[in-house]
Amino acid sequence: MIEMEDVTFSYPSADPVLDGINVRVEKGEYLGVMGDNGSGKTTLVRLMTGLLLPQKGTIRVNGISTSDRARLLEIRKSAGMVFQNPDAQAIGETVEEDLVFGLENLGTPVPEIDTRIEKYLRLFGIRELRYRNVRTLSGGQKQLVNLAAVMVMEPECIILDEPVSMVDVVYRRIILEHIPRLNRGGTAIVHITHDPEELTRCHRLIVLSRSGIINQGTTHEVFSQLLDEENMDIPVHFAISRALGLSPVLTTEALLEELCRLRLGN
Amino acid sequence: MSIEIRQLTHIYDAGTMGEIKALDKIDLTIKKGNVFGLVGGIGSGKSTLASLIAGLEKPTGGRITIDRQPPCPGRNVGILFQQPEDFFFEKTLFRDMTSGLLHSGLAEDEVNERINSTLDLAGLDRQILDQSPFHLNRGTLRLAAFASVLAMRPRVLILDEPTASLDPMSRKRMVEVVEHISGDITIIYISHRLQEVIDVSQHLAVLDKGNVTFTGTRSGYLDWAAEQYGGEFLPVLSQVMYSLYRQGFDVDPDVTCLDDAVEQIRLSLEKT
Repeated sequence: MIEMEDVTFSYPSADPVLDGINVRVEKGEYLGVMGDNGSGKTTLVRLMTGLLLPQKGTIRVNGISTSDRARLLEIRKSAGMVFQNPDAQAIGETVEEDLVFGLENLGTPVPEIDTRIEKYLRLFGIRELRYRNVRTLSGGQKQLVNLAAVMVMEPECIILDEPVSMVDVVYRRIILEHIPRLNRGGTAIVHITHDPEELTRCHRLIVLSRSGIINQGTTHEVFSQLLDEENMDIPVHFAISRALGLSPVLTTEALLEELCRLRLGN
Repeated sequence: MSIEIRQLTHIYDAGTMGEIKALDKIDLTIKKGNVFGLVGGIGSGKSTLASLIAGLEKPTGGRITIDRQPPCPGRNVGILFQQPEDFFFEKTLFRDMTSGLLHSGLAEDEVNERINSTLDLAGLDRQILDQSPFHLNRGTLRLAAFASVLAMRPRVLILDEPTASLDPMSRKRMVEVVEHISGDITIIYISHRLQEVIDVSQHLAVLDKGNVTFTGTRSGYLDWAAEQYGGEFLPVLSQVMYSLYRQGFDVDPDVTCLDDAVEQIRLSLEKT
């Protein structure tokens, strides 16, 4: 789906943010990206969608190089991005216009546009915001609208840069439950966050630092290795199960089941 | 400085078809020097309440007083907005951090002294002042924005999602600074990170559709949240501990430290 080979990127008059990075996102994969502030996570995903071009190396989305500017629309059709700063993404005056914009550009027929907008507004429980001015929304509401605006285009891959950093617990649950559902439907996901609790359903994780990719593997492998790292968070369930010497679990239900089984055994 | 909020009501676009009642006759008292956590969903009214306490808007009904005075931004109250670093655009961080202070009429020497002292407080190297904000990472810039608000010396400070999008190190530093300055400054702490709000606050309030649905201490909050919405308003660790407690494990559901929780579960298993 996305192939980054030996990619180096630096902003003007600064040291390289990414230096010789190789990353592959397979079709239908759910990839999580963790790393400190300044480690290049946002730069990485901007390169993936052709918003930035590398000084060295190649990036292909469905086989199309991001430096092939004539085919940028094809890349954007395949890979949609939800920005970290919700204000960076709002295009329309109203929420509806924001959602219509991408679909119109893709040439979606009008009746289909309406059906899809209704579907995604309903999915996120924000139907009442449909005609609201985007500028009057709170940070969390804007994040929800941005997510809906990308999901409504139903791209093959969705890149999420801190998608729920300002969303409250209720909507956070709705969004975080919807992401794996989308993934099971075949959409590849790249999910960037500092919060490990958001990444428990990823297939694979990458940990970036200023010196490059310092860790990668399956979600269990990476969290196991991060247990001893002082400045890395890992999911609460994972930490409890490992501290008790149990096989690592990632949900409350699985942890309860394991502990009740142990209690019965005793 | 204690904050008294009485019968506070705020309606957007009053009298129009699009009228929205953001706050509905709420009463709250926030004690001097406390960290007061504000929790609530989207559209609950917490951002409206924050901007009214900050004096950025006037309420449509009721009143807010800070030590019997109305809120006056830049004088008795300061606010750290969401993602404040996105508003840094000057050639150097120094210019971004000092522009507000210089506009408030302070002498240059005084501004330099204040910025240096709050940078030290935030644990930031003074050398970053000469750098471009575009070359500094988000964690450093967020702490610098915090330092520039602290340099205004507010008596009441509103922190709106101060740790959103920060890595664990920067988050820890931000919380340490908040704990250090509380006692001298009354802080309203808004965050979707429930564990963090509970750890840092002495008192909390929950807003829901413009009404206060809970106000009390942190342990009172945990008990209240355990009964609400299927535990959604509990931090993950508390969700686990309450679930175990309900299953008959001999654990304290209000424990908020991971190591203590593990020890309690271990002991509880040994007892059976």
